[in-house]
Amino acid sequence: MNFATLSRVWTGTGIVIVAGMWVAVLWAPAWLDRLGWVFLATPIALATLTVWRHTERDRLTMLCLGLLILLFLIAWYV
Amino acid sequence: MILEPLALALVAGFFGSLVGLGGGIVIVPALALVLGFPMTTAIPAGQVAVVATALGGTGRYLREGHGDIMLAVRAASVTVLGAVVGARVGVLIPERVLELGFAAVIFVVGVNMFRQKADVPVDGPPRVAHAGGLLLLGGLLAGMLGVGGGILNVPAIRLWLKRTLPAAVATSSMIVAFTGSAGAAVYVGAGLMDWRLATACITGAFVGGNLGARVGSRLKRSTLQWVFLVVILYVGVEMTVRGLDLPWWR
Repeated sequence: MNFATLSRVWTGTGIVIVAGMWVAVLWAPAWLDRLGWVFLATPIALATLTVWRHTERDRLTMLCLGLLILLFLIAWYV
Repeated sequence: MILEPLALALVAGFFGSLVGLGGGIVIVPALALVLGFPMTTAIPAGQVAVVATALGGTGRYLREGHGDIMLAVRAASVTVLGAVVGARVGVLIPERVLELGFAAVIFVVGVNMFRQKADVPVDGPPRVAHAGGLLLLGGLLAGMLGVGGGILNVPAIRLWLKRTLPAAVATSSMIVAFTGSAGAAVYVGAGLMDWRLATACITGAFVGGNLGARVGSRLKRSTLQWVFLVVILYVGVEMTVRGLDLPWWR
């Protein structure tokens, strides 16, 4: 997966979630909160995918990614 | 009352992405001062707008090849740590002290930035500890003030990790996505998020962020440096007058 494809994945995911949130605003307000959480989780999920597909990924970056995921879980649950 | 925040977020997202910020520093005061939202509503909405700007910008910067995702992940582990701690301890420090401190840091790093040429990496070996300190401070202030922290990420990457300005702007845009997301999560957890307003802000900021990155990657580097100077001065002055509580600002 090259950077042009990853770029499309980042932009496309953003478009799908934003569209989903508008659908929720207009027709299903109960889903808005859940979609909001999906939106907030998107950057870390996409970063994980991008780093995973990166040819030059190293141990330090993977360690930082793990720390980042842990910090997100702390931010969400504490 | 959904089109006005959308339009504001579009403008904030465009300029934010252009210079590697999230745009929260523009959208939060605009929502409060122009549209009359209380700060407790404006700050969480601004935080999700920051994530949307960064998401839109990152998609574009990855394609242009400016951003360094590996560096962004490493730096974000520091800024997010700062943001999580900052969101918790921010309530203990008077807001005016935070704003004046933020303004002082902005002016110091702004002066240092403009002693360098935009299109060449800064001379000397990288100073990871210095960069880490500034990134941590950026994260702390982001968590405390509800902004993305890009205003300190860009100088940290540019001055101490020795990257060109476009590379610093693109990488900062990625970092801001993580910092903003962690900060927004704290507000959602506290039940302060108005998701209808946030959806409008997300939409505007996402489109604006993508457009800003598109223009930013084509802009001359010296022009980019001047745009960043104007933004950094605006933010510094705004923080100073808010911190000093000048009467004509109210």
